[in-house]
Amino acid sequence: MRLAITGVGLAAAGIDLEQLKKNVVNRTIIQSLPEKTETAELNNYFSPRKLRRVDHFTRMTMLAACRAMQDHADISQDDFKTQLPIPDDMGIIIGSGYGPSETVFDFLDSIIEHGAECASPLSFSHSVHNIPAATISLFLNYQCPCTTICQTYAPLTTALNNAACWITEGRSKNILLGLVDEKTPLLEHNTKRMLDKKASNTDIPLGEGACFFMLSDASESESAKYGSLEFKTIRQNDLADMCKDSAIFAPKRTIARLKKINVSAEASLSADMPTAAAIELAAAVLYNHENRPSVCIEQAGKKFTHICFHNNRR
Amino acid sequence: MDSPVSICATGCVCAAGSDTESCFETMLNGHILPSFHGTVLYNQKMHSPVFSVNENWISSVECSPSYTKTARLLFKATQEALTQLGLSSDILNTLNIGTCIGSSTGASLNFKSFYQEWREGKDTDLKEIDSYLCSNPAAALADYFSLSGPVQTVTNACSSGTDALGIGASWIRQGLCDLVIAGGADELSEISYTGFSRLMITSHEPCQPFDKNRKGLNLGEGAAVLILIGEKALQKLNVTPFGKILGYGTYSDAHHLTAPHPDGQGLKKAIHHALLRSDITADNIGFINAHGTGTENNDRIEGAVINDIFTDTPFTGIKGFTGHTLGAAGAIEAVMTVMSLCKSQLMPTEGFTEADPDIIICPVQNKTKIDARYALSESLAFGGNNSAIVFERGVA
Repeated sequence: MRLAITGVGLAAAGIDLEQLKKNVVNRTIIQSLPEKTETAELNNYFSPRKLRRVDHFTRMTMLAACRAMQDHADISQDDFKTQLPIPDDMGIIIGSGYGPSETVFDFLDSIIEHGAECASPLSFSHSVHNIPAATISLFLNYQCPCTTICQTYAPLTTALNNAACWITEGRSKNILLGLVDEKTPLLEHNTKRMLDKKASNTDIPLGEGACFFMLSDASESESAKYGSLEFKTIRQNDLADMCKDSAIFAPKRTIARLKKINVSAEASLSADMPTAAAIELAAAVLYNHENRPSVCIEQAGKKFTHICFHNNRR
Repeated sequence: MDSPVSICATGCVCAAGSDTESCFETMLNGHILPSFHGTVLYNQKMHSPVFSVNENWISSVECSPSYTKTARLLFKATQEALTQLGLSSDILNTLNIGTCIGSSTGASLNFKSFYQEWREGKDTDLKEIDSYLCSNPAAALADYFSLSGPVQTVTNACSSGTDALGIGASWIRQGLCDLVIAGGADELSEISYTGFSRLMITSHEPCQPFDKNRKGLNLGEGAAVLILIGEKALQKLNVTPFGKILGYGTYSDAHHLTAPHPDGQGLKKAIHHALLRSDITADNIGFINAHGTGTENNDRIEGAVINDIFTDTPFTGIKGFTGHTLGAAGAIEAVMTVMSLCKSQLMPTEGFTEADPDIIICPVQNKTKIDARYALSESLAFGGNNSAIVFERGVA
């Protein structure tokens, strides 16, 4: 399936799109930073007063989404009074490995500390998986089709499938598609314990971030800023042939598995998160934008999703 | 227009029954009361009965690895549908079968006891985490039945089940699969029970959808699936469909995170798109299976939207038989809608006795003979998500 890419937006700890581009071109890997993703720039898009109850997961989501919309429109955002341009007939699709983890734990904290009858209803309502997508729709004051996906199994592939179906069926002309995950102390601790249990010597730090793409019908590839992507889920035996002569970007966790089947891939970000493939997709898009052939790979069970690009400038 | 997608089997398990037929029979001719289920934390201020599924009904489902109850409910419903389809595993293995499942609590990090012990500095057994990781509904279903098609767990809160059906139907239309197992699943959870109670939208009595004296919702649990089939597979397998999914529409309100738009704008758009994509008008709809939670806001706004768009179209709400099963609700309601179309019988709205002058219209109060070709099922959700889907009666 093929989709035009008209915008990219990123919000992750210590990385912005410019830095990712620089590192991707130089083929240097970015180390995931231990701190949380900085989201203060969100105040350039919405009033701080309006944002005061928005949790970190949703803030990351909104910031990356706004940046993708801004990239699509190719304009600068001076302050929150400037109207963010919304593409015609836009839908929102968000994928996550675990959903808004911290707000779930906030709600559990409130039950444990204050008892069930004094637990925070606000934490509960914000812990529901589709709240980030709904918050984007609400803050943009834009009624549209929205859907949220939660799974560790190939979340990028799944979201792309959903986007392609919606665009083909004319449900939306443009899809604001994002993948998001956040780290919490519990998730960090659990990940370490589970790796220890498996006696795995993998030492990839848990990462967090949100990465968004503005996608439209492949027929618009000619005018699309980043050309188009084409994705297909294939058996591992077919992968090596399809990746010839391209730089291969894949999540850090998948690199060793790919090596076993003679596919030499690199990660742009050294971070372990279920939605890491989205950041690698952004890296591959930026690399391709520099007229250098690239592909992105996401593991889908025993298969792999191969994402390649058709650059309108070549 | 959305080209029709055939439905060739269904499965359902909820408080009303252990399979599709028994659920439908309970809703047509029986009564069921919510109870105070042991696994949910109760105290005096938060006292709301729930519709739980009899553990014996899912006891035959294998528990290794240690799947959550949500996953086991889903396996039970799917097993029923696959048995109904009657295909050997040899044939099933040759097909590309996708799983598209809506869930709410089934994909949430709701492991309170583990979390509490971790807060206290204990290195708790990772069993609960392993169980969560292997029980993501769509992925667990694919794994359990060795299916190789696309996998999607839809987490749009209470519209998840309806959305999973709409997305699954798209997969068939776009040729991504031969079959799709689409539906929803959710178990009762202490966490969601506490959350809904703290939002003060649960009732301490059995829920009364659309009733003047409604006091709120009762939570429930269950799972339901529809097996959707593409044209090529339909001919190859010589299966007779007994219903079709036509148009699906989904729209956000962009109004409030936990309250529906006061004019029901998102719901109206979702219904409008579902009808338009079905190439039919509101007059063609024979009946509506409403969301009908029994909360003040939902029923008032949903009632007003139905009154605005439809003229004298009968509508029913089944949450008086099932409770609000969250991510499973849309799927259970879809299965019951298809059953009503096939059997020409519409179930009463359990719990409704007195009309609410603010709603104007009344749901069906008695078992009713109907002759409908098309029906609509609708879902409203947190986040202001609204979804609607149209079904057509099949030839069987």
